[in-house]
Amino acid sequence: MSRFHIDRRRFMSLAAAGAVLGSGGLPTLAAGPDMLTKPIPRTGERIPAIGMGTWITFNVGEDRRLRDARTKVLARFFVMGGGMIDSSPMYGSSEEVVGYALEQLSFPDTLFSATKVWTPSTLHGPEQIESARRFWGVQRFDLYQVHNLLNWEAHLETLRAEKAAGRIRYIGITTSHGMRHGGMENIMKTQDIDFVQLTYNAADREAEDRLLPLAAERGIAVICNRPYRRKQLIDFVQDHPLPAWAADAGAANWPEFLLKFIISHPAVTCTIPATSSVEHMSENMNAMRGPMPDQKMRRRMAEHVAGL
Amino acid sequence: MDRLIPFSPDVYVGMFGRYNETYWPALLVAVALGGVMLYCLKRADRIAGRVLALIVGAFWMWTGWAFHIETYADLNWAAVPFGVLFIAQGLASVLWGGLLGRFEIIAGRTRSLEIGVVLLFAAFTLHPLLTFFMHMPIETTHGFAITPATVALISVAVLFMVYGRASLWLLVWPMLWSAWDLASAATMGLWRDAALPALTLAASVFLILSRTRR
Repeated sequence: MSRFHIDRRRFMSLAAAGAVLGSGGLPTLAAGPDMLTKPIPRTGERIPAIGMGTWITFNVGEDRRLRDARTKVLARFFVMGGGMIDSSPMYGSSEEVVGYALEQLSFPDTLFSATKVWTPSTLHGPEQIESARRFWGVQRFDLYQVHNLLNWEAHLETLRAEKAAGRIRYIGITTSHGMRHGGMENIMKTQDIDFVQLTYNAADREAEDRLLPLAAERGIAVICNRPYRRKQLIDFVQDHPLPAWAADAGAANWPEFLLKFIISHPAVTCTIPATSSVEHMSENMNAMRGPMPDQKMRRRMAEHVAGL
Repeated sequence: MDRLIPFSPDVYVGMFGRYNETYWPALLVAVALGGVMLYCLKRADRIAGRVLALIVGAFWMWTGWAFHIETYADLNWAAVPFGVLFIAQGLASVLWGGLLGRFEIIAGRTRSLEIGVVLLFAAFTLHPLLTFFMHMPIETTHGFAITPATVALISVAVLFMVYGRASLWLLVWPMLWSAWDLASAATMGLWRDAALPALTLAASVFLILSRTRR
C-alpha cells in the first residue's frame, strides 16, 4: 500500500471544472490529498482503492438536468483522487452518461476506464466494444471485462486480440451477487486474465474462502462490486450506532467502516461504490484516507456486522 | 427483481415526463380515438367491431414503437423486446378483430359492457387522479392509450365489450405485461404506478372466470 498525491495543477483544473458546473462546495486540499492506492499485480501499476460503479446511478437517459447532476458527482470523484469508473452495456444509458460527464470534465488524466462486453453473440462483441468507445469518448480502455461470464470463451478471445492491438490495457471477467463462483474459479485457474470482479462486502464474504486467495496466488487484481449490497447494507447498519472502536480502524461513519473493511483485504485491489450524491461520493472517497484496519480489526468488523 | 431494473424510480418517473413532452399532442389524438371507441359501442355493428379492434391495435403498436423502442430503451435494454411484443400484440388485434372481424360488440346494456366502459374510463382517469392526489408532477402521468399500463387496461376493457371467449387469448400478453409492470412498480416503491396493472390483472382474471364458467 502506498500514498498517492493529486498534483496541484490537476486539482486546480478539476476544481475549476467543478466550479463551472456550479457544484459549489468542492473539497479543498484540506480534505486530504493522501489516499490509499493498491497495485495491479500483473504490472505493479497503482490505482486508487476506491473507484466508482455506475449501475443505476448513471442510467439517466437523455435528461440534461440529471446528466449535469451526475457530472458534479464525477467532478467530486476526480477532485478527491478517483480513478476507476466501471460500467457496462447492461446498465442502459450509463456509458453514454459517463462519456457526457467525462467530456464536461475534459477527460481527467487519472481516469481508469473499465467496462464490459455483455452479449451472448460472439459477433456482436466487437460491435459492442466499438459502441463503448464512442459512448465513453475514449480510444483505449484501461480494462475490459466479460460481464457475468456470458459467452466468456469467445469474448476473452476478442479481448485478447484488442489487448494485443493496444486498444485495451487489461482484461478480466466479472460476476455479482455471489453467483457463478465455480465458473470464475475455473477461469482464474486456466486463463490468462488481469482482473476479476466479484461481490465482496462485510456481509457477503464467500469470496474469502477460495476466490480471494486464488487471486492473490495467481496475481490477479480484484475489484469488489456491491460494497453496500446496493443500498441494503448501508440502510441496515445505519439503524445502529457506529461502535466507538471503529475510530481505531479509521472509520468515522458507516460508509467508511464498510469500505475500509473491503479495501483493507490484502487481495483486494479496489471497490466500486455507486452513488448519485456528491455528499455520498465524498464519504466514499474519504474511506481511502486515514488508518486502515489490520487483520484482527477486520475480523472484529465482520463479526460486528454479522451480530447486527 | 431489482437486478432487472437498471434505473432509479425518479429517473423512471421523469422518463414519462419527457415522453409526454416529446410526443405531444399524441395524447389528444389518443383521447379522440377513445371517443371513437365509445361511438363504436353505440353503433355496435360489424364495422364498429372492426374499428374498435383497429384502434386498440394502433394503441399497442404506437406504444411499442414510441414508448418502448424510442424512449424506454434508453434506460433498459429489455425495452426493445418489450416493444416488439407490443407491436405483435397490436398486429394480433388488427388481424383478429380488424381483418377477421372477430370482435362482435355486445348489443344492449349488459353488465359486461358496463364493466368495459368503466375500465375504459379508469384507463383515462385513474393515473392522472392518483398523480394529483399523491402530489406528483402531473406531466409524468401515464397518458391514456399511449403508455403501456393504460393500453393493457384498454385491451381488457374492449374484451369485456365483445361477445364470447374466443378472443380471450388476446389477454395473454396484457396479463404478462401487467404482472411485470406491477412487480416493477412494487420493487421501486412506485405505488401510484402499481394501480393500473393491478386493476388490469384483477379485471382479466374476472373476465376469464366469467366467460369460462358454465
